[in-house]
Amino acid sequence: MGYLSESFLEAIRLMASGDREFLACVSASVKFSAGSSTLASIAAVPLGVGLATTDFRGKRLVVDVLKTLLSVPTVAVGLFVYAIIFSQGPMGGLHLLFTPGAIVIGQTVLILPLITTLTYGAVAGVDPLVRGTAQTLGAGRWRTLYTVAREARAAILIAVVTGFGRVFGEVGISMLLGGNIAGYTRTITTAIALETSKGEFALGMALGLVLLFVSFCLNIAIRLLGGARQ
Amino acid sequence: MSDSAAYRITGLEHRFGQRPVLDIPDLELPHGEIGAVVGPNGAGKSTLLSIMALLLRPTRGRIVLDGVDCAGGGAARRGRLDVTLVHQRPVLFSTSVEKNIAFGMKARGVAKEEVARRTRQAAAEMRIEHLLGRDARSLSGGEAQRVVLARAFVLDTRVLLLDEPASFLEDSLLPHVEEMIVRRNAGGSRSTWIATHDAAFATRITHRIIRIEAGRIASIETR
Repeated sequence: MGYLSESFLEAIRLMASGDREFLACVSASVKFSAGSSTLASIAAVPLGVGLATTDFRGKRLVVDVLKTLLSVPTVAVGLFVYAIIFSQGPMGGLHLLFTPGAIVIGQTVLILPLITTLTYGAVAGVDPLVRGTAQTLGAGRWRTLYTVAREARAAILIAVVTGFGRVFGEVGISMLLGGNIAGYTRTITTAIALETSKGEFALGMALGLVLLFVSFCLNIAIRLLGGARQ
Repeated sequence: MSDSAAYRITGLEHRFGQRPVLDIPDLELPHGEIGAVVGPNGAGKSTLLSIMALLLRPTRGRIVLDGVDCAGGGAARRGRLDVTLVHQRPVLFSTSVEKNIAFGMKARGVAKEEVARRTRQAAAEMRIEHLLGRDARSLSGGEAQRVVLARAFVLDTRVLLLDEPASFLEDSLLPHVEEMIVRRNAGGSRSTWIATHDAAFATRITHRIIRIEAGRIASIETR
């Protein structure tokens, strides 16, 4: 058990000293997660709002498909994007494989259904009279949609934060599409996998502590946003 | 049929699933009237008002508002600019009272200064100036009802539909609201229709009382 406490102390020292490798991994994880959450939200929030406020044939099927996509493993998403961007793939000419862009694309694909589904649920839960009230007060289609979505803004923010949390802790996509290149595509999770396989517990544990801390902060944020929602 | 009709409703049927809730073969409502739609709970009063507000498309039938058939989505959207419905339960957006009252004017592109002036005026009329800066979600039922009435009256649309307006309102304010309705209709170009089960409220200020029972018009009393 001694190695655990030693690793823990070493982890604290690494964090306190601002170890370059450690900071590079944290920085990469934050950048990739922020990028993919932003991109996914730009597409998923309007999709979720549109889905919740429009009736069309096959809507239930679309929602069922989205919910099914929530449980797809990250490596499967990674493999799918890999097939598209590797040198022989349809987007091979863009030379994205083993770049930060590849990770961001993969992570965006991963959380698109998640944010869409959560946004859909949030907007579908808005009092139906809000829409009728906006319409009877003279709001056109877009202002009505905006008004309904605005009523669900706290829950939509929770959806985005949940998406960030999902990609911040994923490893399959980052490993498969990023290649775990030090100082370039190495993220917290891929570094933990690598360091642990090398028996270097200290850096792995320090990065694990950062993951735990970020997860804790996200939970606090979700709780506060949930409070604002009520 | 008269050319001054605000509404001409023909062959109106509405169902929720398989359950028929409204069946009105023919109904003409002239402009300038204050009318009441009365009947027991579940008779179809609120459904009729929602259809008249062009918010709910009937299963069958035609709604002609000011000579315009509002069957299509575009016509209904344009028609809604002439009609305001106040729902039975006060529904406020989660923003300030001031922004709630200003909502309809902003949606119509009214100038900022004019919006501010009319918002203050409407708030004063409903005696809620002290609430303007408050978060609408923090209001009591009675306060919320005053805000939704102010928000509706300020638009001064040709048709105003009120679904049980007295249900959340303090008794002391009811005569004032009645006076506002009468004043609004005084010019003869405005119509106000009130769904209510309060017989006294219905008879005090209305020109016409439509009694609905089980989705059908049981009687029309003109006064």
